[in-house]
Amino acid sequence: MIFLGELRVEARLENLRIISFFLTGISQRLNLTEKVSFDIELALEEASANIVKHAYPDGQIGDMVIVVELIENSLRISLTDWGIPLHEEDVKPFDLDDPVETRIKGGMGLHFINTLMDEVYRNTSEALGSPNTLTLIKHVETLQPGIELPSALRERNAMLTVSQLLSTKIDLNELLGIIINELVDVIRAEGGTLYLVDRSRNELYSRILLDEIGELQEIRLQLGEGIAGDVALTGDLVNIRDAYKDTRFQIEFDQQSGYHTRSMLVVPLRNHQQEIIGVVQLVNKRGGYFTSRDERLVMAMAAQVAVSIENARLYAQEIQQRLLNQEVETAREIQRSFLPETPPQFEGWDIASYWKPMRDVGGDFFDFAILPDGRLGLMIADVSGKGIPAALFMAYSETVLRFAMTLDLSPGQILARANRFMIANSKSKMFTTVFIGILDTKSGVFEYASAGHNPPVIYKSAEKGSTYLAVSGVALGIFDNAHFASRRTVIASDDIVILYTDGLIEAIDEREEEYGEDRLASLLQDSASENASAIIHHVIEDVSSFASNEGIFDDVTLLVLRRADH
Amino acid sequence: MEISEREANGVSTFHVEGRVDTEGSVDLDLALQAAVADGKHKLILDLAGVSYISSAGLRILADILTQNKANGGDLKLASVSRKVLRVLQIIGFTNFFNLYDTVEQAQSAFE
Repeated sequence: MIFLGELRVEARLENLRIISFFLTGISQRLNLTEKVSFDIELALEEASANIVKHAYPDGQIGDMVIVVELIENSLRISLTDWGIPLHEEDVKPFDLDDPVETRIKGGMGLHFINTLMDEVYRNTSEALGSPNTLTLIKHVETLQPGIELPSALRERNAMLTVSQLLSTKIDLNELLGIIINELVDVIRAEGGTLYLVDRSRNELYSRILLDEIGELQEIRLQLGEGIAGDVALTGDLVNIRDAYKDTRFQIEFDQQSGYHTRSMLVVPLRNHQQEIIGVVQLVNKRGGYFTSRDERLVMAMAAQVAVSIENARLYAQEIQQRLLNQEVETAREIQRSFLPETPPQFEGWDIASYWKPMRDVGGDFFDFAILPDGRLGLMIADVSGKGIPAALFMAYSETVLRFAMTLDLSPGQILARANRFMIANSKSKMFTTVFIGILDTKSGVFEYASAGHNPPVIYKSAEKGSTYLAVSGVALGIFDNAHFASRRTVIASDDIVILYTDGLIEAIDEREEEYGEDRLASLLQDSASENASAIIHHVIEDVSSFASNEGIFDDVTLLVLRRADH
Repeated sequence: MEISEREANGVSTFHVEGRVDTEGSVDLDLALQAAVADGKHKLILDLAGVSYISSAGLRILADILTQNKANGGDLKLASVSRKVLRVLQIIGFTNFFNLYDTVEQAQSAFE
């Protein structure tokens, strides 16, 4: 669903044209065919006129709100009023066989609405003062090529499309140009300018210039300077017959351009908070002077311009958010590409992995490496923090660790080398916990070291019990001269090692109790006969049901290693 | 909305320029009712400059046509654009109004 615009006006006959211009602006933005745009314009005028005449009869004043959206290839226009609801069944149905004189009576508007629109829904409320909404739907398959961009917006992988949309679709200038153009036409002025207030410089600058002497350079005025600057400062409308008799008028513009300014109508633009955000200036009414009716029309249009500016700004913000989401998605892809797609295959070993960042990107990672002597190096790590900062530091940590692993060192020495390197080169206050192991896949000898990481659980098949691979060491990136001990164990047939990050054991249930290592150890014991991926599946299922109410707050990563050479 | 009136051989031709919507039809109503009040019942509406008309304008056309017919006259429509013609068709007005491609053809139809 693409939001195209919203207009709130007092339900008065004088405002029906404002409604038409509002819709025309949208039709032009969407490049609708003339026929479709005519149909919706007529249906909307009829529906609006019904609200003015029947929802608020006898000169009652109330608001109406029109919202236009694009859903797939349908334009949805909803009109809401808070007056007397219309019951279509009470309206004498329009009969094409009636003589012409009786057609003057009602029903004609409804006939147009029902004939021209593809779908019409009415939602009325009996309680006075409650909203009544009429929804008009028109299929607009005939969008011109290139204008189907709105529906492409939903495709998150269409990054290019989104940025194109940012530059083309949100062309506020174009939208305002259409509105000012209409205004100059309808009021029958020779030219028009829209100025916006630049608060940071206390200036007014021109956004749209329409006149008969061609394009002008951008005009900048101090607030208070000239007639437009004065209106921007005071907020008082100015309608003058002869500009040369007004002391505020700056004759230099005319002298530069050779144009002769006579009458002027200058109206302030206010946003919802009633702050002045700009002015609309019309010059030289054709064949006379600007009337009070012109003033009314321009003021109503000015309100719409202010809404358009506001809407365009909100729309631009939404697009920015989408672009950011798109970037995060890309970051996630990049991060995923750092991680091994499938664990390495070794005769007699069954290895599986699981990685799930809490947000779109995370600070957990794991890696495998075949060392020069043929042994299998593996590591699991957790960077402090979450989200993008953690992801960036993870990429850095992984590069350093992967490099250190190729140096033919013991696990403790690898950690020491990586730690020194990280302290020397990174000024961030982040740190990384790592468990690193080197496995001789022939003998089952497993050498390991830890930098403040949670101790892996090892299930010993001979003893039918679990212990932890605990070894001292502080997280990387904290102390310059940290020492990391290396230990060794032997992984025998049907033994299982499970490496994990703290997101798993720190998941909490509704009583804020942690999942904990012991639950993991006992689950491992129960699943000891199963293969590595089945064990991962059980663990994830168990922790998810444990934390079903509270959820898991951190990235979760698991590595399972099972010796299966019996 | 701009309306100009031209009279020849007892037939008044109104040239209309602009949108005959709720707002524009106010001016059209004033001009046509004034003519009818003056006893002019043979009227031609030159719609070449009209690209938009809504039910408010159509009611006026129907009202003036009814009054003119009762007085032995007519309201003939000339140079109707495609868009306006479609509106007239949707509401079934093409059965009641006499439509002509040009003002001249409408004038000769009165003779």
